Amino acid sequence: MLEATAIILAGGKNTRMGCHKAFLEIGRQKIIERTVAQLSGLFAQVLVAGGEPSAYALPGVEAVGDIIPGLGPLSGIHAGLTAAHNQYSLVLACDMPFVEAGLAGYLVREAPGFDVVAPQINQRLQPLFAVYSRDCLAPVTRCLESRISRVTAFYHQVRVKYVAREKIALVADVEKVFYNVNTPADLAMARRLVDVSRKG
Amino acid sequence: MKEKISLDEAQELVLSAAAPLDTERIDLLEAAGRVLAREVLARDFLPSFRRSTMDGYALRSADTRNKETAALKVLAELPAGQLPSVPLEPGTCMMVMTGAPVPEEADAVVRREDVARNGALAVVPGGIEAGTNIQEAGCDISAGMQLLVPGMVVGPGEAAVLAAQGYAEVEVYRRPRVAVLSTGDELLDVREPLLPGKVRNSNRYMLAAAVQEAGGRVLLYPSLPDELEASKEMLTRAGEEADLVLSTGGVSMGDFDLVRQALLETADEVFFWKVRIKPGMPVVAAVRGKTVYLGLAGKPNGALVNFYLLAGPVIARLGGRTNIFPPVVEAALENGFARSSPERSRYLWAVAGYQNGWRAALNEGGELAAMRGYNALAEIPAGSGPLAPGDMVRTILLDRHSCRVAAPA
Repeated sequence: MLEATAIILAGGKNTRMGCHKAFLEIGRQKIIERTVAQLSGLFAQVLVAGGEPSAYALPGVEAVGDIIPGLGPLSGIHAGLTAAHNQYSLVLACDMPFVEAGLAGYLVREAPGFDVVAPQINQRLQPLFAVYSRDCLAPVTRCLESRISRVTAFYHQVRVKYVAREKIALVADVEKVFYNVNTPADLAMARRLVDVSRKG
Repeated sequence: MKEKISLDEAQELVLSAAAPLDTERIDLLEAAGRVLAREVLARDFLPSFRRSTMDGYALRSADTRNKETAALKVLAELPAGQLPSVPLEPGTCMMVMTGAPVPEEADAVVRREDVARNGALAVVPGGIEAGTNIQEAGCDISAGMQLLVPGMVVGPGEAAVLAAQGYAEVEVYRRPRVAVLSTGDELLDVREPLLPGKVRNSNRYMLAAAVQEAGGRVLLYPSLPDELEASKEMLTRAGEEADLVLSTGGVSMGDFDLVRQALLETADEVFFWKVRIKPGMPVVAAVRGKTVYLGLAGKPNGALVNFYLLAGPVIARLGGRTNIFPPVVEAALENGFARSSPERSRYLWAVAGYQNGWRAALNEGGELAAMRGYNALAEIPAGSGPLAPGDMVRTILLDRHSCRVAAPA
C-alpha cells in the first residue's frame, strides 16, 4: 500500500458530454467506480473531490465538496489536498478510464524532494495525472483567491519534477494511460480499447 | 602497436574498442541467460489486493475487543480468487483461504484452528488485533518501484519477477557473435586418426565452448591457410560477420606469425602484441570498424588463459553486462608450486572454495590435463619464488556453475 492519497476529481460541467462523465459506463462499470476499484486498497486514502459530494457514495471512499468552488479542477485539487492525510496525493481526472497502478506508484515514489511530479509527453503536461504535495495547498489557495483556474498557474512557485515519455513507457501504455473521455466519440473509442485489452 | 604490456593495460586497450551491442525484444521464455537492456519498473502491486496469510475467518477486530470470545455470523465461505459479493457487516465474518482477498471491511483473519463452528456461527477468541494474518497490497512488490536494471542477467528469479508483473517480452542486448578461427594446416580434425607428428585441433572446440559459456554465439570458420593474402581475406570476412574475432596461433616469434602480419595490414589499429603473462604471452589485439580482433596464443593452455582474461570481458561488455570482470578473492593455497615466476604473472588452473576462508587447490598435470574441473585461475605475481601450502594468492573466480565448486578436501 502506498502511504499517499488518491484524489479523484469529479467536478466539472461536462458540457460536451451532456451528462456527468464520471458516471459513463465502460466495460459494465462507471468510469469512477473503475478508478476507485483500481486504487482502493493500494492508496492509504482515496478521496473523490469536487462537485456534489453526495453523488459519490462509494464504499471505502471519502467525498469532499469544493471549498472555493467554480474554478474547475483547481477547486477540486484544493478540496482534495485540504482533506488529504498524507504528504503526497495523486490527482486524477475522473474521465480517465485507463489508470495504471504502476504509473501511479512510480509518480508517488519520485515525489520526495518535489511538490509536483507531472508527466510530460511530447511537450504536453498531464497535470491531471500527477502527484501534488501538501505544500501546494498555500499557492493553490492564492490562485483560487485571485480567481485563477489554470491548474499549472502555481507550478513556478513550487518544486516541479517533469517525467519524460521514455520513463513513463517503462511502466505504462503511454497512448492509453492519459486517455480521457470528453465527447461521445471518445467514449466509443474507450469502450473499444477496453474490449481490445480484454481479448489481448 | 605496443609490445609486452601489462595485463591491466591490455584489458583497458581492448575494452576501449568494445561497446554494448544493439538490443532486441524477445519472449520471456527465451530470455534465460540474456542481459536486460532496459530498466524494468513494477506495473502492479504484488499482491494486488489485501490477502489472508492463513485459512481462517476474516472479521472486524472491533467485534472482538474486550471480549473473552465472540460469536460471529458466517456470511460466506470464499473460495480462492473470489471476491465477496456482500459487505462484511459488524458482527459477521467470512471464511477465507490462504492467499485469498480479504473483504474490504475486515481488518483481521483468525486461524481456522482457533475457531469453533456452531452452525452458522463462528466462535472466535476475543482481543484480536487489527492486521492479524493480513498482508497489505504491495507488501511484496510496490507498483512503480524499480525491479531490474540494465546489465542484469535474466535468471530464474528475475524471470519469476518479470512474469508476475506481466512482462511477456523483455528488451535484451543482442548476443555477441564471436568468430572462431585457428591457424595451422598441420592440425587434424577431431574425427581424423592421429598421424605421426600431428596434433588434433583442440583450440577450435575449446573456444567454441568458452564463447558459449561467456554468453556469445559461435561462428565457426575453417582454419586459416598458411598464406598471408588468404588469411587477410578470411579475417576481414569474419570481422564483417562477427562482433569479436578470435583466432589461435600465428602470433609468436617462432610461428609463421601470420595473424599478426595480417592484422597489421588490415586493421584500423593494432593495440598490442604480447602481454606480460604466463602462459599466453603471445597475444595480439586489434580493431577494424566496430569489430574487435584477438589473436590468442597457439597453445590451448595459453589461449584459454587469454580467453578468460581478455576475450571474456570483451564479450561481457558487448553483451551489455555491467559486471564484466570475474570476482577475485585472496585464497590460501592447498598445495605448493615448486617453480618461480620471475618475469611474468603466472596463471594456474585451480579449484577454489570457501571453507573457513577462501582456499584454492592448484590443478595437477600437464598442459591440457590441468584444464579439467577448474573453477578459478590462481594468479601468481611476477617476481614470486616457489609457493608453499598456506600461501595467499589472488584467485579469479570463473563463472562455471557446471563444474565442481566444493571446497577441496
